[in-house]
Amino acid sequence: MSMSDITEQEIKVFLDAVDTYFSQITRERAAVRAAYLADGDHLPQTYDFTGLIAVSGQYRGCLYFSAPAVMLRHLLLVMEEPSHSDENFLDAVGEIANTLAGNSRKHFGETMAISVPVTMKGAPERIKSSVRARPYVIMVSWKKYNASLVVDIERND
Amino acid sequence: MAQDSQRFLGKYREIVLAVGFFLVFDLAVLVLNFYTSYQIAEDAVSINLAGRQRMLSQRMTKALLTLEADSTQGRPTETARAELKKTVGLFDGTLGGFRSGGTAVGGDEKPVALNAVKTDRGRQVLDDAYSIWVPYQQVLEPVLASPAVEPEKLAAAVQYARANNLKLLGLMNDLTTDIEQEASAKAQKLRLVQTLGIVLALLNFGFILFRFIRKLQESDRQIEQAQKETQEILTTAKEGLFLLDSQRRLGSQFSSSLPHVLRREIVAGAEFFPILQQMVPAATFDAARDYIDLLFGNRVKEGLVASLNPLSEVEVKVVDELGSSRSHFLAFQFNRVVADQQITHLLVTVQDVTERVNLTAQLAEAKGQAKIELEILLRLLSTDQAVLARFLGTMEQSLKHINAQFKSAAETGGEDLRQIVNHAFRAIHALKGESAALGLEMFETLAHEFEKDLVGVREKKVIEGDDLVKLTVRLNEFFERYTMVKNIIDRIAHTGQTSGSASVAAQFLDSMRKLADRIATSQEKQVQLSAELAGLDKLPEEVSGKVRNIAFQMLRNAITHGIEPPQERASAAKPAGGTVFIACKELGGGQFEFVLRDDGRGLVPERLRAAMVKSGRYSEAQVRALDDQQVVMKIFEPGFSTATRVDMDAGHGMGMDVVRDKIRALGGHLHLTSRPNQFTEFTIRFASELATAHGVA
Repeated sequence: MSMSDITEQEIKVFLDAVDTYFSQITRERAAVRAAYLADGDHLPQTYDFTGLIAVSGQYRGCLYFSAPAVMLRHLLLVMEEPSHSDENFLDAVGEIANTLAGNSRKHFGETMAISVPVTMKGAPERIKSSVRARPYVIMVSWKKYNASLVVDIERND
Repeated sequence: MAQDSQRFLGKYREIVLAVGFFLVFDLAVLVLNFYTSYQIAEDAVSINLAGRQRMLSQRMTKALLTLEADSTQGRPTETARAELKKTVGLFDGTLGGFRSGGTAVGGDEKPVALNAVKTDRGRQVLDDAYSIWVPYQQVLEPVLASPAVEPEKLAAAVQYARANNLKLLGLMNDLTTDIEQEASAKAQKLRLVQTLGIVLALLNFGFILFRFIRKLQESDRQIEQAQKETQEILTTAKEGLFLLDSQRRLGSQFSSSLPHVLRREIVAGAEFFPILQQMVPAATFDAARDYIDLLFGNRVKEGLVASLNPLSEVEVKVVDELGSSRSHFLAFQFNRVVADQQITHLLVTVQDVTERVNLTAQLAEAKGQAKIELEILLRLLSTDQAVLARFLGTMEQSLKHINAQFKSAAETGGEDLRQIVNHAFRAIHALKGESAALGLEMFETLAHEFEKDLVGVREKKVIEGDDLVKLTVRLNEFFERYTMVKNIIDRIAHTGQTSGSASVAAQFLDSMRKLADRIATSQEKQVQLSAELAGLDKLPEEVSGKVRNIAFQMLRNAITHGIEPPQERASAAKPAGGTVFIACKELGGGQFEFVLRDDGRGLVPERLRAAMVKSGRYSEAQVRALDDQQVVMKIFEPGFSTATRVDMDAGHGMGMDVVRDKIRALGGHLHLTSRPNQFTEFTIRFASELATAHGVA
């Protein structure tokens, strides 16, 4: 509610990063299917592989992109990557997390310190609890697959 | 200049004095030299003449003996006598000169000044010499007096001469020795004094050298120290510091942080204006240039124009290496540097005040936030706690329901987003109505803003997932305010300040009156509310809540659309103030009835048809094809409105469809009767137990 909370424009910065990634790599945009608020007490929707960046500075919390293996496999195909191991899937979500970090750095500058991307397979157990009471979950679709972008970032007051 | 010379003397007085002393010593030695050489010359004359006395004593004796021999042998005696006379005269004159000072005849027959001998030994020698010389002179006198000398007198003189010649020679020798010794002693003394003078002069010179070098070293050290301090200030200062000369160029030195603060390369001696021009908008740049010109002019006082500084807090856009533009706030301060009453430079201090500006903004925001919270608290304290708790419960459910629909759209896909948006609209609109009824402006405004966004989305031809992002942010905002108020309520509840004594019906009526007043006032209408609400207290809370919700919405519509403005009522021969009657009655058998009736303009099918055509959603032909009852039922469709303006209470084409939804949820039946220009009455029949399955029309 407070004006210092993250805004729609700031969420769009992250969404643009995901869109940019898919547009540039696959020449096919990633569309936003819908958005909702996750219950902060439960982990929001995640898929098989997750790429995460943590932020600090004037903000705190984390930001992660989670996608099912099947989507990543298709992505690797489009990228003409012959090997489809877990390693490659992790690399792919890591690369998306990297794009998120890059876009955020560009937009937030010194006010947001951004960690190196962390990638995880399965339910992201490392995300113990959320910073926001209700993290934003934005469902993104590429081709016929769904992936989620979770924005669990709060401004430090 | 006078001041300068005074300062110069002050600073170098010591050295000037020392050099003066050096000169004085040198001069003294020089004078002493003159004196010494003069003395030596004098002493040389004395020694010379004393030596001559020795020789004269012998020449005298020789001349006497020659005279005697010449006289004895009958030879002419003139030459010998003349010689004797001359030598006697010289000897006597010189001896007199030695005794009492005066002029004597020098070696070159010229008179020379002779000093009297002053030493004791010399005086003694002179006395002894005189005791011989005086009788000698006496015996010589007759010899010198006449050429025909008497042999006895000559013999007496010769005899005296023979007897005393050696004595006299000895005495003259002593005199010479004495004068020599005296001169030597004097010369020694003078040498000593001279040496002393030279030593003093040298010491003085050494002192000057020492002091001067020390002084130079000291001032060198001070300069070095000053430079070091300046350097330290310039390297340590967080502010950008530099001097601007009258050519508007940067000075040779500036603080190390300047490039960082300005976020660009800075070269010493660079022109300032081109740098500034890149940083600030053209208008600010022009103003800054004028301001700097003003400061370099002598006409205005610095303090008076300080407030005109257009760079006292200026936003500067910097493009970083990634190519994205970022804003910084810089504060430039200009101070004149004055020398000899001339403005030579401006000292420019640049600070990065981004953090301060941000903090100020945050502080202002926090103050605004605190004000909102205080307003909320005051409002909450004056609202009945039980009512409030019920309201918050409804709100939580509504918000969660909206979110659940968003979530299902996100997860399953294929959901009709328009339907979801419409649902959200109805829910938020209902919340707005209830907030208004309770006078909770903080929710009413929030709902209104949310509603505006929802309208914006709904009006789009195609609703996309992207649109839900904006709505989710709004939803989050609503949730957070809900949480905040909920927390406040819980705190108040814990401090035991709940009232909760009034009956649901009484509280409800109170809320309805407040809402009626507010809507009537904002629409410049007059409304009175009458009620019979005994049945309301008999309903379970869940049902009662739904009924109240419906009532708020219906009341809003009744006043907005039903009750006419006073003039219109007057022309229809009605009292200026309209009446709304509400009732909730128990019918028996678990059946209840809710009635809301207004004495307004009634539902006029023709007017509704016109509104439908005007909305653009129906064509003239479609409207004509509907019968009156079908037309009236259109008021329950989403997006239908007869209101001509959009405000908090009407015009979003939402209201009656909420009512329809709620009636469905209640499992109730709606009965509508109306007579043009007389009344509209809604009657809802429902059971006190909620039907488990919804969706009954």
